[in-house]
Amino acid sequence: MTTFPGDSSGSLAAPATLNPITKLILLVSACVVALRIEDPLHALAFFGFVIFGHVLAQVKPAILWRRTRGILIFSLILFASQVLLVKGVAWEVRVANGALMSLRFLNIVLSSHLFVSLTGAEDLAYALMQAGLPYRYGFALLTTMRFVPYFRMEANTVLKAQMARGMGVDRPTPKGIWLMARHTIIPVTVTALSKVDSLAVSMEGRCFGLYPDRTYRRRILFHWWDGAVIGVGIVVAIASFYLL
Amino acid sequence: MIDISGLNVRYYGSSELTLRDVALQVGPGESVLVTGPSGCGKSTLALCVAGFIPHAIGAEVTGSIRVCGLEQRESSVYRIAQHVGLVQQDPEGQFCTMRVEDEVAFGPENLLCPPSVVTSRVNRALSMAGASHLRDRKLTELSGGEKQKVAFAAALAMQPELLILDEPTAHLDPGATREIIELVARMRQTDADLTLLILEHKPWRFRDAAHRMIRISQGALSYDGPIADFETEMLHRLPGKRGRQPGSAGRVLEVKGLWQGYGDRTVLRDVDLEVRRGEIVGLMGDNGSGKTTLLHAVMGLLKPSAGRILHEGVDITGMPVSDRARRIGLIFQNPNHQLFTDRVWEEVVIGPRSRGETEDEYRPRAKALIDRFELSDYCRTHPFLLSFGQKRRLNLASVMVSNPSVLLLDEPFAGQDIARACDLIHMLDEVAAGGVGILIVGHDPDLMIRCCDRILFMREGEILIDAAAQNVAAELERMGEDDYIPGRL
Amino acid sequence: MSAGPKRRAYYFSTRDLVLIAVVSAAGGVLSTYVGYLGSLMNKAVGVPFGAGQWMAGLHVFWFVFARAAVGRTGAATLAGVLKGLVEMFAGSTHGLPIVLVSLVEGLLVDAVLLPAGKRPSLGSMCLAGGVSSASNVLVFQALYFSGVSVGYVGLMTAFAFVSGAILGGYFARGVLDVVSSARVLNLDEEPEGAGRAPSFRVISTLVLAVLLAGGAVFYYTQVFEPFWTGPTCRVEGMVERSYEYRPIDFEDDSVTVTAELQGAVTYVPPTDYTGVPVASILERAHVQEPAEKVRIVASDGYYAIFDLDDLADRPEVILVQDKDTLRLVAAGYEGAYWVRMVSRIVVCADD
Repeated sequence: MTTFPGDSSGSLAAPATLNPITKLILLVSACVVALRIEDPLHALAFFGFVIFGHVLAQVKPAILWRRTRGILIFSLILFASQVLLVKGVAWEVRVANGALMSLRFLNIVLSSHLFVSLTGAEDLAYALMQAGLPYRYGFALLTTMRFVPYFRMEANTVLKAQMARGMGVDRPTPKGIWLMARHTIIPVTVTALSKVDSLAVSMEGRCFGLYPDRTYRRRILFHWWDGAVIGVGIVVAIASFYLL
Repeated sequence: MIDISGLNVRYYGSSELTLRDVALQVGPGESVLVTGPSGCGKSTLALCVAGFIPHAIGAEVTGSIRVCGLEQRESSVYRIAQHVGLVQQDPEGQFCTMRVEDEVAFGPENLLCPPSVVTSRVNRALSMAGASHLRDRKLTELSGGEKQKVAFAAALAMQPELLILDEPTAHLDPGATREIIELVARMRQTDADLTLLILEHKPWRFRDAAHRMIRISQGALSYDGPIADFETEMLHRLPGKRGRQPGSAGRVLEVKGLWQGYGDRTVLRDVDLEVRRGEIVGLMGDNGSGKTTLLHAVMGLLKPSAGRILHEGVDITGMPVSDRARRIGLIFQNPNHQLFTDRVWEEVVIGPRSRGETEDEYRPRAKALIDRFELSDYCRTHPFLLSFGQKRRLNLASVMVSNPSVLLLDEPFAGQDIARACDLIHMLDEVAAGGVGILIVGHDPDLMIRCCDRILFMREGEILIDAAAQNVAAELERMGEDDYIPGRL
Repeated sequence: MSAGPKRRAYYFSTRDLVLIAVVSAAGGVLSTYVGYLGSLMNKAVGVPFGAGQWMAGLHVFWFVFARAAVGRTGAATLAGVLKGLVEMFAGSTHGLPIVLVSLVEGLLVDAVLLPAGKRPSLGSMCLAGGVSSASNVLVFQALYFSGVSVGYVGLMTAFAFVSGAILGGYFARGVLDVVSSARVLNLDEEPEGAGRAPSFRVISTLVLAVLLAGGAVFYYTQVFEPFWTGPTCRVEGMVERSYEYRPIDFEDDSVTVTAELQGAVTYVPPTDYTGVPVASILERAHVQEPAEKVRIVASDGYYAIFDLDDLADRPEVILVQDKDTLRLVAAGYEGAYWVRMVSRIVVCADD
């Protein structure tokens, strides 16, 4: 699956009005629960819950499929390898084991996907800053996300430049793979570093860091129900240690 | 407003002075153009005036700088920043948020302005920069010219008394360049108190916004007076329009009925073109018109949806890129994108080596090219340690080592001063004289018309004009593409 | 006027933060490519998975580079968080756990380079890269694959360490030298160690070395369980004394039984198995009232439930060592009760 930071594809009214921090805490809780589940049927129920979340979030099935098909295929391979390759265990045990491993993996990845579908990276950064994260670190996150599409294009150009010079690998060897890595990482690193001074000048030139605090024109609201949802998320995560 | 005397600047680690004994006085509300060749010290002067040197960027500075009544030595960057705005050359490298409104609000928010004040500053700045319609857009969706306007607005939202614009048109196509020139003139008229310092290779472009010009040569102030044109003389010394007639040599590249798209979007529509042996063909058009896509399709980096590409009469439409690289060379806009190894020699030979050639086969060719492009003293040097011009020559050598008969160049003149551009034109002339057909994508009509035999003009994926260089101005005028007519911008 | 010494208002300057941000963004963007190189490596070596760990060092390259370029502890940790978030938001195949993996990698780079000062040496960068890279195997192991054999994990960790040392440490140093020579990145010109007594770094290095050595001695003598001592499993739940079961501790209780595995599809004729009765294992934990059941849990989550009283009466239900794992031989029970890769024995009140 490939998304650009800040591109959220979901549009459900309720989760969309949750504070991004609430959604992040829910994601952490979901991952804890997914890891604690040891019964394949429970894992399957969790999977259904996450898929239902995608439906509620109005993530288009085509988008979901495009972004997660690789993961789904990997999970199927994981399941099949457990069922077909493990010897000396009853088939129902192998099916159960395979299903649990695959579902655990899928549940975590799809929960993360649901979070990313409903949350823009910039909203998360602003929410964290408004919740008390020192704003200089919040802007480090924003700046990182802001450069992702740009560096993607740069990396793509570097790879094209390699192809244009006839530098490809038909039969990969360890040395050839190492050279491919070098030939890509160094130009992209140089491009990245060439932006450092101009961006630092641009930010300080607009008084970034002048005061320990700053104001925000755009507010990311934290409602009472955010507190309630966070509470539920934390309780569920803790309960999973005792109940599962 | 600006009072500089006896200013000397030496960057740490450098033995040379970047600025030497500079003295400059600029009054409130005055607009001054700062010109000079690349590397002369213009940007260093801007960074000194804005207070970044030496407070944020390490350099040894002597002399006196007083800006907006503040003595540099006693004032922090932040204090100066509340009076001086700096818009740098590359807007891509100076945004730190993801949306236009957030970017423009960034400065006032850092000043602890209440949200209502931030909003009013944002509205005013966007309006002054002619960018109100962009307010809700994501920065990644903007064109180069739009990004530059947002960078202006972000600086104006700080309500500076002095605004420094560092080569504001360097990477723009002619249409966007004209918009920025008009915008600066309008800003000048709207706010008579605003002092402007405009760093620009082509000072005549801003004749409506400023009447005084200073020129820096090798770090020292060499001219202070009315706007004058020093650089174009160099251009006039070039051999001039080549204008050889088509048909004088065989075709090395033919494109027939080429269609290309990304998803639902068609980028190239039924494109036909040909390049003959030894001919230099220019390809002009606005950003997004399909020029780079055409080069990539010819190189095989994109698979066309329809059409044929012939090299010396052989259909290469389905040929893998690695095989095409023996016939066609492609040079990208940024030389750093094509530097992969840690030695100049390795850089030149990596292509043939990847294709399985033996050292006996490629060595003589590589040696000859390294000598020809004056790189023999740098064979063991890391390519990133070379100067810009040397990197460009290395790019050429590393592509020419495969003996291609077609050379494609993507915007090689972008952001270059005229001296560097003239060097490149001389190099390309040499390459073409060896029988190579060259196709260049470029924006600068003054350079393109002097560099090319023939000019193609693209709009929305179609080639609308295909004319000899000396006839292209008339064709462009007929099409209403005045911005591309040489001498107009 | 002349330049005076620079004053730092913040621990990380704006330029430091921007440097960390762009390096993290580049690292996040190229992580997919590094994954692709890993799969190419598998192809080159001719194995389905595992050889990709040879490229793991490229994931930590960015952290070592950020720490060395910024010259301050914490730079790698911040880069770890940012790169992890980029990968998650860009649709990493690991989701949220990639943030944890990346954070741990960054933290370890900072920890190893803590005594290295502003400009770490090549050796310390290699060590930091190696340790950091190796951690990815252990974190993923802890999250998903707790049942994989120790030998395999050790091998993967070793691959990752070597990769981290070379691609993370050595390569980062080389790139740093190039970009600083080419003035793509202007490193702070302040001489190394300036502002503190020359002996400070020596002393701090020695102190850390002693602490690390002491920690290592304690770990290896008191905590570390090498794989050659055999596999272990946790005995817990309604017991007075939870403990880690090791076959070597129960050598005297070992018995040999003959058992026949009759599964729905698997059949193993009567075979002799040598192991320790589960009843003996439970006895040492002192089961509490009102425990009734025992859950034998495998590392992959599979489990079987037995009546406590039944097990007490059946010394032929034994835990045997099967290579690097423990296996339950449930003589007299159907095949589904023969649990492989046993990781926990949980005593509970009821199902």
